[in-house]
Amino acid sequence: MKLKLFHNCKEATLLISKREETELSFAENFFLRIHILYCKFCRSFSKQSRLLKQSLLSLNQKNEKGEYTLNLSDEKRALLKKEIERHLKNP
Amino acid sequence: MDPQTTSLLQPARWVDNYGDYLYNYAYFRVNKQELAEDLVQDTFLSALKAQEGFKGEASEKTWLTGILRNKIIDHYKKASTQREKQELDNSRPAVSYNYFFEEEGGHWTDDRGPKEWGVNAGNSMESKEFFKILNACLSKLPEKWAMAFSLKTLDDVQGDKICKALDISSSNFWVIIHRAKLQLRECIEKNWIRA
Repeated sequence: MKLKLFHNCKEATLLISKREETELSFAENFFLRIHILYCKFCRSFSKQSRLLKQSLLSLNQKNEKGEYTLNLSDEKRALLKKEIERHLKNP
Repeated sequence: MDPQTTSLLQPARWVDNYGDYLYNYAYFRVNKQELAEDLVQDTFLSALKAQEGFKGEASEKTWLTGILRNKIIDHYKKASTQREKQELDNSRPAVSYNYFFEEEGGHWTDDRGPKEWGVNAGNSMESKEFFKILNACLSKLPEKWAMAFSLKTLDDVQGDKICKALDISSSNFWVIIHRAKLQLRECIEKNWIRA
């Protein structure tokens, strides 16, 4: 990795995004760690990036009360059941 | 494990058992209510026709989810070819790197750098309010970016499949995810954190 990148937030935030989804190379990891040590903005970005992912993931699942974020409307539910029933009677 | 996870399919109970699950699954990947409902309906109809294909190796839920996932990818493929031509008159503009970073040196500009949110890592933001803002912010991203971001973040479709469906190169893929996140993060900060 070129030396000039040692001060580059654009590059660092790209690596942060990448790190969440895949493994970084040794050089990338090294650069990122050092950068984050002294860059307050990128430190925040890194935290928030993780938070965003966790939030999206948990919104997509049931909460502790066993509720989903969204529920099918009663009409839609009835319609789907009717469609399935019709097909089962008449495959 | 519940009884439905055996090799027997029970279509009459699909809506009660998996309706909301599949609806949420679809919604968070397409970010549109009506479309998510349609995808769930299509999934049930395709599943009914493909019942013989169910070998009982996976649970009923996993099997239905697999069908839905393919429907979502198909939707993305269609959307990305249709949108291609409309990309120019985009009502959902891409914010450029220079908006966030100094052109020279690539530092955050002082007023665009991330602020502290005061939310601990490890916690997540699950409130209805956050959900609304997240949705609004996602819908401001260029559609392809929002698609790539949601799919990748929810993490069950491989990167190369997303690239193929959205017709983007793999090097472009990370840039898109990155820029989507920059834009989304700022939108959330503006609308939620300081609200």
